[in-house]
Amino acid sequence: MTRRLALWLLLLSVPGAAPAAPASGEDELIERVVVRNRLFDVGGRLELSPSVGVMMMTRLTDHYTLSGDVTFNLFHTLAVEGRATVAYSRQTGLARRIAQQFLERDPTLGIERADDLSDAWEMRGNALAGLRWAPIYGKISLLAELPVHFQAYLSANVGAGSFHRQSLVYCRALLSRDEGTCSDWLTESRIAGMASGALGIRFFTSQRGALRFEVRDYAFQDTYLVNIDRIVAESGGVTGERARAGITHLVLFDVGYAFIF
Amino acid sequence: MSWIVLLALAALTDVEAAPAESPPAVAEAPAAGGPPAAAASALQEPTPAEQAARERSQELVSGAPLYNPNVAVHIVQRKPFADRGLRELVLFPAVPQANGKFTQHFGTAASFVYHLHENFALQLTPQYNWYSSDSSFNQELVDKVRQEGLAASTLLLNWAVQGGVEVTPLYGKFAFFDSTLAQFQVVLTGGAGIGSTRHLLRPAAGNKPASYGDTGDKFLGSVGGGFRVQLGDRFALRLEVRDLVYTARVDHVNGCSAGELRQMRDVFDRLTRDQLDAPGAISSQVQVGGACQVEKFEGIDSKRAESRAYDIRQALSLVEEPSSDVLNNVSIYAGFSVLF
Repeated sequence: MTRRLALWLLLLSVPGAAPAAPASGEDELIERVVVRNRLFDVGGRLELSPSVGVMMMTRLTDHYTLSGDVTFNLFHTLAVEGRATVAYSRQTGLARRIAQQFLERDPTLGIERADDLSDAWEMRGNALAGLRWAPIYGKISLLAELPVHFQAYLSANVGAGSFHRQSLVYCRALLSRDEGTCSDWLTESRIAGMASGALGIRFFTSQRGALRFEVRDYAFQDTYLVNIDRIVAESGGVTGERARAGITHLVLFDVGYAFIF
Repeated sequence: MSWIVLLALAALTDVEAAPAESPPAVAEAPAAGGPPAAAASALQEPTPAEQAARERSQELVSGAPLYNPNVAVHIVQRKPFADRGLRELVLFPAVPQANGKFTQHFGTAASFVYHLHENFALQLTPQYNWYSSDSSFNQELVDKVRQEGLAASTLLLNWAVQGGVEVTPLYGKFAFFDSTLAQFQVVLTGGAGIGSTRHLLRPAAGNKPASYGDTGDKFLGSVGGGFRVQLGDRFALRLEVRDLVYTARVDHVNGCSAGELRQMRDVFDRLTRDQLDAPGAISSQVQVGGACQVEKFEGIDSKRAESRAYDIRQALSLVEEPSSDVLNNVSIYAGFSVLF
C-alpha cells in the first residue's frame, strides 16, 4: 500500500503525468478485466526450464552454458528456484595473444616479476538456489490479432560453482621464446561460492509454456598470483603470492523455454 | 466504446481461460444421497438477489459480459494517446557504455522526435560524452604486461550527432503488482551521422591529467531498440540500447600525418627542455600542411605543467603503423520525454 501511494505521489507531482487514468467507470472495469486479471496465472505451479546462454561481451574468457531450472511458483509473483548449469569455457583469442606476446619478452631484459591478470577464471558449472520475483505482468500486441502475455522478472540465486584457470603469465616450461609458446602454463581448479542475478522476460505461448529471455550475471571471487618471478617460474620453481582481487562477473544472455505443470 | 476491438471472447465453456469455479449466483446441485430438502431447494425459483446477480453477469459492456466472473476477455485496445503529429523531446541524463572492452564512455544525450505517423517518426540525437577514457581492462594490460589495444580499437568518442527514423511496431500494457497500469511501446531506431574522436596520448599520472590527441571526425551509423512507457498524455519514460557503429582508422593525430610527426620528433630530439618551453619552438622548424595543428604539440600545457611536445612521440607511435577497426559503442540510454 505504501509502495502504491509513493508511486502515485511521484507521478502526480508531475503535471499531466498520472498513468493513463480511465475516463469512466466502464473504462476502469475494462482495464481491470483486461490486464489485471491474468490469463496465465502460474501461482502454485511447477516449472522446468532448459536454457542456453552466451556471453554478451568477452575479454579473457568465453562461456557457453546449458542450464536447467526447477521452479515452484509460491504465488503468481514469487517463486523459489533451483538451477544447475554446465558450461563450455575457453580462453579467448585475445587472452592467448596476450600470453604469447608477453612470453616473447625475455624476463632478463625487462618485466622479470609480473602479476597475473584478473578475471581469467573460467566457470565449468554451478548449482544455485534462490528466488524469482515477477512483479510485472502485461500483454503486447505483436500483430493485430495476436496479443502476447508476458511477465518480467528479477532472479537472485546463491550457490557454488566449479572453476578453472590457466595463467597468462606463469609459464612452467618454455618451448620457444621467439614464438612465445609454452608447454605447461600454470593451471588451477577450485570450487567456490558464487551468486547470480538475472533480469528477464518471458512470453507465454500457452497455459503450459513460456519462452524466456534473460540477462544473467554470475559473480564470484577472483584470485590470482602476483609478484611472479618469471625466471624461477620458467625453470619449474614455485613463485608468486596469492592475491584476493575483486569480484569477477560473467554476464550471459540466456534463452530458454519454461514447461509449466 | 467502439474503440475497443474484441478479438476473442472466451465464453463460459473456455476451460483454459476460465478458472474452474462456479458463478456465485448459480444454485448448487444437490449432492448424491443428500437430504431431499436440499434437492427441493435446488428446484426452487431463484431469489431476487440471485436473479439480479444473474442478470448482472449477463450485462454486456462494450459487447462483452465483463461482470461475469467466468469470462476472460482478450482484446487489443486502441492506444489511449495518439502520437501522430506530436513532437517529443527526450533527455537521456546518463548514457553509460555497456560493452567497454578497451574503452569506457559516459555521456548525456538528447533526442528530438517528430512523430510523422502513429508508428513512424523522425529523430535527431546529439550526444556528448563527458567521460571517455581507456577501460580498466586496458589499463591493466598496460600496467601488468605492457600491452594495449590497437590504436583504432581504443579510439574514444567525444561527441556524436545522428539522425534517422524511429518505428514503434509493438504496443502493450502491463500491470505492476496488480495495482498500477501502464502503456508501453517497443521502440526501434536507426540513423546515421558523425562523431568526433580522440585518442589517449599520455595517461593520468599523479596530479597530471591525461592528454589526448584529436583523431578527427568519423561517419557513424546507429541502430537501437527499447521501450517507451507512457505517463499520461504528455510524458514518457524511455529505456533503450543503441549501438553507435563507426569505422576507426588512425592515421592523423591533431591533423598531423606520420611524416609531419616525424619532423616534429626530430626537432623535439634536438631541443633542450628550456628550448621546448619557448613559444613556436616546434612550428618554426618544421614544414607541415595546413591541416596539421602544430600548436597542439608546443607550448606549456597548464594542466600538466609541462611542454605539450612530450605528446609527439606517443602521437607518432599511433600513426606509424596505421590501424583500422570497426567499433561498436553499445550504450544504455535511460531518460524521460515530453510530448507537445
